[in-house]
Amino acid sequence: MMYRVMLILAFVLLLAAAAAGIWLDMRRKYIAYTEAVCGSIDDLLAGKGTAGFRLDEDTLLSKTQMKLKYLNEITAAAARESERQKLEVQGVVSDISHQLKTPIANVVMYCDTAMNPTLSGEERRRCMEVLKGQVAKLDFLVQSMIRMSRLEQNMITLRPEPTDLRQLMEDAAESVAVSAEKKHICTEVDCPEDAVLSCDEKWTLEALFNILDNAVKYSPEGSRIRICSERMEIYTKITVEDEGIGISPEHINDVCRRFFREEKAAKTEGLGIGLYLTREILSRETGYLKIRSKEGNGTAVSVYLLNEEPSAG
Amino acid sequence: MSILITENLKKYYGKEPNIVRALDGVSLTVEEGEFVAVVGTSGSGKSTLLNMMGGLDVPTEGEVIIAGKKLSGMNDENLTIFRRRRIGFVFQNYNLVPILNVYENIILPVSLDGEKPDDTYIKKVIGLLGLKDRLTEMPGNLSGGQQQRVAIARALAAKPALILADEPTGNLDSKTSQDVLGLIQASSRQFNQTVVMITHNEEIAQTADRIIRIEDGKITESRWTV
Repeated sequence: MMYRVMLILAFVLLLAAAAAGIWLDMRRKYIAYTEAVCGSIDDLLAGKGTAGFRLDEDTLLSKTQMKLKYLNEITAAAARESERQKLEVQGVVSDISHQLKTPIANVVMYCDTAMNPTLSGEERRRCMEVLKGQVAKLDFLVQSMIRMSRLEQNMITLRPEPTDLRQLMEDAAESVAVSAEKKHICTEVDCPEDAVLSCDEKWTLEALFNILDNAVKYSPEGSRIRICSERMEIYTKITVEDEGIGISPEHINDVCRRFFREEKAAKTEGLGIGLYLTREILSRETGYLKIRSKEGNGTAVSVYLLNEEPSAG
Repeated sequence: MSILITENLKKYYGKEPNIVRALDGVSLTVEEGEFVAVVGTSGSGKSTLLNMMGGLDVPTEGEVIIAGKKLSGMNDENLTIFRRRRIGFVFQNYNLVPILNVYENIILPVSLDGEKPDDTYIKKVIGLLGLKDRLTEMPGNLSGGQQQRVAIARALAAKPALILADEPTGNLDSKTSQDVLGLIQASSRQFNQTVVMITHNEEIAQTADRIIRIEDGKITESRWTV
């Protein structure tokens, strides 16, 4: 009997010792693991990166380090993105203020002049005319920026509807008729076949206007601008060809960026918003834009718009 | 999140001194929803790069990570499944299955997985690509442009993390190319689909959000167009 009790006691003690041993070992491992994780986090915090991580092992530590690595990457990407946005906003603000500076300075100057009581009626009238022009320029600037920001914030939804191609092209040509005439530029519309497109007429006209406006601005007096169309199975292409100064090959992919302007365009008035807006508008109605240009010889900008009923073809 | 990361990717053929460096340390990151064009002349390494990205070839050195998964860690079988679920391919020669009709071709990657296709989504894809009236036709009766549109629909069907397009307009005439190109771009926008397109044609590259230029196995330029 006594012998049996002692045996059980010994067994229990042995069990307790084993449990304590396991517990101690687990504790040691747990502490080691925690320390390793903390070490990894410290590495990341110190900006040492994940070079010391063992990512290929089949251990808990490796798994945790992998997750930490992801977390680190995601945070870094978010930080980069916010930095990029900050720079962009700064850039936009400085661009806008730069664009506003000259007209405002002119308005201030001519206002002062016009208020001079000794001015003759004729002189005052001329001042007012300049003022009117400058204010119109400011108005145009502000309007463009409002349109841009509305589009960017998705405040405007484009509603693609059946639109007559020929009418669209003629309306677009009409929108620059006055400025083209001033430079004796002849615009030519060539629409070989009637077609119905699926696009938002008002915004597409704006997109085409921006292209045509560029064509007029960057073309010499007495040159020609051709607007022609070509129908494909899914898209219809409207191309605006001018005989203007063209775009240099290294900047051909930059011209659609917001506020981008080539150096040689500095003496022509403009904002660097037109093509950017055009691209935005087109992408919102499932269309796209392509530009070909030969510096000094002219530019061809093609706008691709969906045909109505794309499945018929 | 970065959908595609390549880390110092290298692919060497042969041994010194006759070593050919098809890829020589290419590191790039593609974010979700981006439409990236990789341009380069023939022999610049752009197709090798695409094969590595798609897990069709194994790099000598470096790592490809797609949607957080390392390709190098996978065995052949896992890689095949991963490719089917997470990567959509559009090749120059369409690669449609000739004995399946258009609709069956489109849902092939989904049905191979034993999944039920997401009907509303597939319908949208088919509508965008103008294939509504051709679903029961056989690939052999379609024009090149139409076949390529089916291939694009197939690539989109499984909602992959990444679509890889290798000279998608290489076999098409200029008119059809412009259609196909517009549709690749449109589907990338509409479905927030990440697309990497390989081309030697600068003009085609223009439609992308970002252009990466590769020469002699190295990235020489990377610029945004927006």
